[in-house]
Parts: sequence; C-alpha cells; structure tokens
Amino acid sequence: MYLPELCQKVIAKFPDVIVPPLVEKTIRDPEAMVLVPAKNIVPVCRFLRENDEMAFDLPIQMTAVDYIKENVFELVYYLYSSKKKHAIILKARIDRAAATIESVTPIWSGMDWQEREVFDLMGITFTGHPNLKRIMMWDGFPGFPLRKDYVHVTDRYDSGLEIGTPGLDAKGVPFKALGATTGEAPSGH
Amino acid sequence: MSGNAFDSLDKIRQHKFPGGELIMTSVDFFIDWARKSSIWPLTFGLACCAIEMMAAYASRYDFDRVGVIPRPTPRQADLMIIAGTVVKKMAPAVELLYHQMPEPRFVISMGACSNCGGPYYDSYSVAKGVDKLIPVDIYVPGCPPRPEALHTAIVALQDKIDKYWDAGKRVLRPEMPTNQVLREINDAAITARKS
Amino acid sequence: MATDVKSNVSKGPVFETLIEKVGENEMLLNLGPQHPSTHGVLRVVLKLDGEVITDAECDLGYLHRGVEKLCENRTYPMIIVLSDRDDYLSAMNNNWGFCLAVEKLLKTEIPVRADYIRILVGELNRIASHMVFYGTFGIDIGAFTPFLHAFGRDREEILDLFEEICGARITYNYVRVGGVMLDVPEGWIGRVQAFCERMKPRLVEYDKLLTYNPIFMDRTIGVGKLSAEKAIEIGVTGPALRASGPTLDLRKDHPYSLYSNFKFDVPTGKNGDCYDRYMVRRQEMTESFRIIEQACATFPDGPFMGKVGKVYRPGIGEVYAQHEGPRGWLGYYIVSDGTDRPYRLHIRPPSFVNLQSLKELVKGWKIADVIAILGSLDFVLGEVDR
Repeated sequence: MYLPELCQKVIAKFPDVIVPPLVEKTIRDPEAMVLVPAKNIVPVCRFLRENDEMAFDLPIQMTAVDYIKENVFELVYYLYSSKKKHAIILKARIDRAAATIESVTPIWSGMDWQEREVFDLMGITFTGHPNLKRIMMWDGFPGFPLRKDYVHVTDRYDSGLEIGTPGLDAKGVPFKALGATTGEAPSGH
Repeated sequence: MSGNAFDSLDKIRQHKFPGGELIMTSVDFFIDWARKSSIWPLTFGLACCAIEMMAAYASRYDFDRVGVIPRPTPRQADLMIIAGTVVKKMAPAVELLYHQMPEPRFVISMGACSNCGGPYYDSYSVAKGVDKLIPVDIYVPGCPPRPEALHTAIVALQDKIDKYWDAGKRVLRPEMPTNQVLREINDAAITARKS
Repeated sequence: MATDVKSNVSKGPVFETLIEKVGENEMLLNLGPQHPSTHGVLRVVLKLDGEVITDAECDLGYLHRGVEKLCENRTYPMIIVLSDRDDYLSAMNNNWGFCLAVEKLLKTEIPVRADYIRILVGELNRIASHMVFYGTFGIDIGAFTPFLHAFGRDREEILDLFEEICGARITYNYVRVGGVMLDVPEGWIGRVQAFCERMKPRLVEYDKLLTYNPIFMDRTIGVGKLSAEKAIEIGVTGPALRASGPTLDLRKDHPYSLYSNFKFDVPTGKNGDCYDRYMVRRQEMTESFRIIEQACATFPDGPFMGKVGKVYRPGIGEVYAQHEGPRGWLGYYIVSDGTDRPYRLHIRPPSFVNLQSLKELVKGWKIADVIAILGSLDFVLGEVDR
C-alpha cells in the first residue's frame, strides 16, 4: 500500500523533507518513505503523531544501519496508525563522527528501550532521552558491537573465533573453511 | 523401605529373618545411595533448553520417578542443570549460584550452547562453554537435547555418584571419565556399526 | 534509609537509576535474574514502600546473544537456524517471519500447499505457545495442575506432530525460504484433525481448571490494568494489546499468506487486566483450532517448495516484513547489499516492546501481583534480549 499522498502532506509541512528517489532494481517496502533531516526529526515525528490525518500512534520499531562506506548512520523508524491502518517509514542520516540525534521517546514512550538498544549496540547518542544507559551489554563493555568496524576484545570467556577479533578475516575464518559463498547452486530442489 | 531397592546392588548384605529382612552395609554406601536417588536440581532455566528441562519435569517424562525434584533455591539443590546459553553478563550470576549450593554439588551442562557456545560460537557476548566458569560433570549434546537425553545424563550422574564409594576415599571429582554411561553407549554404537 | 540502601546493593545501571529516587521508608528489591517466576533471566528491580511497588526498572541482556551481529556473518539459510532460537516457544512462527522478509526481498511466489502447511504449523505452534503460557501462568498464580495438563500432556502431542514433519521438538528449521523443508508425511493431516477432536473436551477442562477458578479470578481480575491508549503508545501488540480493546491483528488487518481465506474471530478484552490478557490467549487457542480445522478440510495438493536456489543472492535493497506471532508483531528488517548475507538484520521482537509496559503495570501493586503481571505479559527472554 504505497501512499504517495502521505509523503506529499509531510513535504508540504516540512519542505526540507525529501522522498528518497526510487533507484532502478532496488527493492524496498511498499509503504510511504521519507528522508528527514536529522535536526528535524522531532518536529516531524510530533506532526505525524498529532496530526489527525496522520495519527501515527503506534511505533513499530526503530533501528540504525551502519553505512560505513558512506560514513553515515541511517536511522529507520517504522510507524503505524492503529486508526487509519497505514504505515510510514522515516529515515534520518547522521554523520558517523558525530553520532547524535534527538530522542523521540517523549513522543512515543515505546521508543525508550529501542533507542537505548541502538545507543548500546550502535553507539548513537539520543539527546533528551530520559534514561540513556546500556541495556543489553554491561557498563564498561568495550565498543559498539553492531558497528561494522567493531573490534572485539577477547576475554576469559572467549574462544578466539569471535566476529571482529583482530587477525580474523572480515567474514570470519570458519565460514571461509566451509566454503559457504562459493558458487551458485542450480535453482529448484 | 523394602529390600527390592537394593536387590541389584552388590554392596549390600541381606539377611532374611523370620519376621523380615535385615540389611547391612557401610554408611558411605548408604549415603551415596540416598544421594543418587534424590538428586534435587536447581530450577534454573536460561534459554531454549529450559523448555526441554521443564518438559522433563512435566507429566510425560516425569523425572520425579528418578527422584529428581526441582528446587527453587540453590541452598536446597544438589545439581545445577545449565539449560541454555550462558552469556557473559549472566556468567557472574551462574558462578554465584554455583557457590551458593552446598557440597557435594554437581553440574550438568545441557545443550550445545552451554557445552561450547553452540550456534553462538562467534558471538561477542556469549561465554563459549559453561566450563569456562564452573566445573562440569556431565555434558549433554543436542540443540536442545531431548528430555530422554537429559534422563540419560541423570542416570550417568547417578552412576558417577555411585563410583565415589569405589574410589576408597571421598574426592569431589575423581579421575574418571565424566560421562561414563554416555561413553559406553557411544562405544556400543560404534562397535555395532563396525560389525 | 536511602544511604543504607546505597551502601548495600550491588553496582549496576538499574540500581543507580532507582537509587537516586529512593525516598524515606522505601527500599529496593531485586527480582532475578535467577528467579523461578521470571520466565527466564529477566532482572527487575522494584522500589517498594512497605509491600507496595512505587517504581520498577528492568535489567535486560542476561540472554543477549548478539544475534543481529551473527546474522551479518551468516548466509540466509543459516539465519533460519538462529531465528528458531529467538522465540523458542514458537520457533515455527519465527522461521515464517524471517522467510516472509527474505521472500519479499527475492520476490518469490509460494506454492499454495506450502502456505497451507505454514498456516497449519504456525497455528499449531501458536496453540503450543499459549499452552506454555496457560501452564506457567497457572504456576505463577499457585495452580500446578494446569501445567501438567497443558504443558505435559497436550503440548507434547503438538510436539509429536512437529516431530513427524521435521524431526525436532523445539527448534524446527522447517519453514524455508520459498516453502517448507519437507512435505507432510502420509496421514499427518488426519492426525492433526484427530488431535483437534481430542482437544475439544480438553479446552472445556481448561476452563474448569483455571478460567473460572475463584482463586485465579481473585488474583487476576482488575490487576495490572493497561489502557488502550497507553498500550498503543508503547507499541504493545498481540494478545497483550487486544486485551485492552483494540482489535489489531495482522492476520485480519493486513492479511498475509492465505489468512484472508479463513474464517476466524479476533478475541479482545475490555479492561486490559491480567485476566483479560489470559482470556484473550485462551480464546485464541479456540480460534486457532478453527483455522486448523478449515485448513485441514481444504488441504490442497501440489508442490511444497517454490523455485528458489539453494544459494540465493537477493538484489540490493531493504525490506521489513511483519508477521502476527503468538506474542505480537514479529518483524524482520533486512538490508541487502546483493551478497548472500544480509548487510544488516534487525529483529523487531514483540516481547521486547511489550515488556516496556511492565513499569506502568506494576505501580501500586504488591509483590505477589508483580508475579501475576509478569506471567500475564507472556514474554520470552530469548526474544527480548536476542
């Protein structure tokens, strides 16, 4: 259910919001998708939540993707409206060096733990979050595991095969040995 | 207590009297017999294997019949079944619970995760085997192991408790194969395959 | 008082959060991570005034296995194995949810028979999962018999059916991208139908044992109320949301697979208390049996696997696919860079989001009620922590 009119309404209100251009052969969800400038994320979210035509009251999920080649983190918000039964995807891009964005927890309290998880595992700071502490890992855990350049520090519980251990190849030695990526099998079973 | 429970055991002398039976044995043996017949595990589930452990306590597999009754506190438990993935954040709690159990205490490592990390062998947050924290008596393979496999482990543990007496002195972890019964089954299977 | 607490408790971010707020005549109580009633390794720190809870904070991560990172290092078929172990009470539904996402990436067509098998095993697993809830919730409240009936007897029969089709009891790896692993064996549909028939009187028995048990009703009615607005704002989905009133069910609202072909109702509650959350799950079992009976009656012939290679490389792109699991909306967000492994995979676990409501629910209730509220949320820690 692709809803371009939803995007149009958001753009009419916030001119610096753009719809990501549809690249040929790229797969994407059919839902409306807008790219929001990081500094505008809270006003846009507030608009989506409070506007009667939008009424996005249910935060489905939020997460972040580490595009290390472009040197950005992309935050992805999936919102749903329980009244209108439509969904929208928000995206915001922030620089990897200054990984900070404003928290949307005051708008949907359900984003609380999800933002904490992104903070914990991806190392993105959410300003204005009421309780921004590590949620999965313990305090003092070195690094942010979901980053692509994560370096694992071996401790006494480890076997030395961990992803990100220095000296191991990027995909991990065991998989190379299995030959998981070699060749394409014929289709059909 | 009827004499039948001891019939198969050679450490027992049974004397028949006109009014009943008299049993003579050593206190060591008797305590071991009592100990192995009432192994009380700690109610301690970590992950998927905990569901199979619960199934083992429930009606169909009914571990009560081998004297295995789960206890909610480590102070009353003899056995700790590590049922699931031990992650590094949980590791201090596992160690603490182990040390809260009274001696003699036994540990069964249930499933691939607690044996060696299993499907999470390359994870940044999983301890690769519970034997990196606490000594393990029996390893049960499987992901998760079936309740029957856990039953075999309990029988193997009973066998191990029995062997304490054989050693002639009380040592907590005697030099012997940790999973005697499992090994015997394995050997028998290999012999059967060869023939 | 507050200073005493500070010196006695162990260090940890959760304690630090609450200690700042500990007032006169208040204390902190640690629940878990090893506690017989937390359904896994959840740690909750309660702030108490006497026996009344004034605040609560969850400490997660005691089962954080780093699945999302591992998925970046595994090929797509290998991830199905990991998805089994996320929500280990309904592994079929996890497989299905992940396969939906990959199929969206690959734009694969699924044979009708495969969809029927998926609905059958998905609904059977939903029932099995609700049976675990039924049994353990009974134990939390103080009734042991329901556990032996639901968990020990009836759930084992479902596991027997699963064992026939894939050989595993808990972690199935059965639903594959493009279809299912194997066709159902000869006579399996008949055995499912026989099981449905056997279960009909047993469901009545379930009601006698627990649903209309006066002690159970006293312990759960009115306890831990969650309003519909609050639930939606938190993002609570599944039975926990429907107990508060909204009829939000992906199977009805955005039908995927072949759910639009089946007749079933979406049970809802009114008050959003523990009893309603229990009741919704109890009624969902009946509805799932309805779906299974319809699927068995119209079970089609045909292939069970679509045309998907053993190694596949989806195109560049990203998708998010949702699926109505037994605990709510289970979503998989996959970013593909054109290789045989996902560039990024994020799981939207229903339990994780639902558990956020705990803080709201327990305020003002006593410690014994916390156990009832925890049980009624029916979360799986494997999924919460991943």
